[in-house]
Amino acid sequence: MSVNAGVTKPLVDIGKPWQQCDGQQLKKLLRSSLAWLDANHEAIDALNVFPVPDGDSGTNMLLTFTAAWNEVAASPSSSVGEIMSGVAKGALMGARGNSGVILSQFLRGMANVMNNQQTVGAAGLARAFQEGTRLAYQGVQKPVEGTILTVARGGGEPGHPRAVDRNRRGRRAFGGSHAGDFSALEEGRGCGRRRARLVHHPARRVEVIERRTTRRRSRQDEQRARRKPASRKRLGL
Amino acid sequence: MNAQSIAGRIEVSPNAIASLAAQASLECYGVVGMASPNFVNGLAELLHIEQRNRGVQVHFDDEQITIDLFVILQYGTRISTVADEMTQSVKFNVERALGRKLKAVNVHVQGLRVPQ
Repeated sequence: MSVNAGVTKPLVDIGKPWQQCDGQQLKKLLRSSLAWLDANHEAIDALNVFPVPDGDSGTNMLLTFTAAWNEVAASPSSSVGEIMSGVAKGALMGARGNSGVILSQFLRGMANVMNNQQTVGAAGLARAFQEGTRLAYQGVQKPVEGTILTVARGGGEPGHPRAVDRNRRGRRAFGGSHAGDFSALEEGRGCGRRRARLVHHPARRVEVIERRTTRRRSRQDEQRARRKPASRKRLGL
Repeated sequence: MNAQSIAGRIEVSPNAIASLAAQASLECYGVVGMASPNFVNGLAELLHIEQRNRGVQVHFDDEQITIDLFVILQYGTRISTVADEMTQSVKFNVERALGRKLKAVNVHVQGLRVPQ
């Protein structure tokens, strides 16, 4: 299913691609996510049919994320660990609705990984997304697919251990074509230039789905598309 | 619960309603499981999936239905929000299946599970 995710252009310009990001840079990413969510929350509202089809998922996530942002908006900290744990705390206190609670758990998982870290790179962010997904799945006895949980899992998929290993060996962090699946790390200028650009945040996850359907496919993409998506088992969920 | 249709009588047992409510609760985010309404040795007991209906009490008075849910939630979620979502979800799902309004859905948080 393709999802019209609305505006997909970054709303806050972050300039040149980053290899690492510190606390203040992370704040820029968060603000960009918030701006994107603000611009597109109605599109997400329109998707909402579960658990009660009251069409408030986007609004709930926006409120939750705004609370998270407010917690760190004035923070001068340069440590991603401190910023992220502030975000997790803000999201917990301000969680609204089902999707908001899931988002807050996801952010908590990310904060756990970044705890005590000064900066975060591609591999660290990948682990953070995975841990966020793991923690998010733990919070419910019967995970219902097709909710934001599935989107979180799909977003974290290219960050599975193989991708992280590739990065460690100095090759591409999230192989260029994976960008189709992963909004958080956008490919740097020029495919295969071994650059991952930290751009956004899980709140932009919905965008991915659209990009996957509209992107022109290379032969490599065709091969990837034939592969099955990662199972929950493979991701250790 | 009884209802009179043109062709005959329809009876829905409290157990059937409890199943609907338990199913809707467990699909709610933040709900780790149903719990026994009574504390065993002072501890909240997480019910196995087959006996989950024991964590739901269905009361009728004057054909009005009140549901009490006994649950264990995930530590680290906002309890008030999760409980609120449960109330809405259970109300929506049970009312849709039964075709009848519920009087109230009460949530009793019997315990929290701390994630590993």
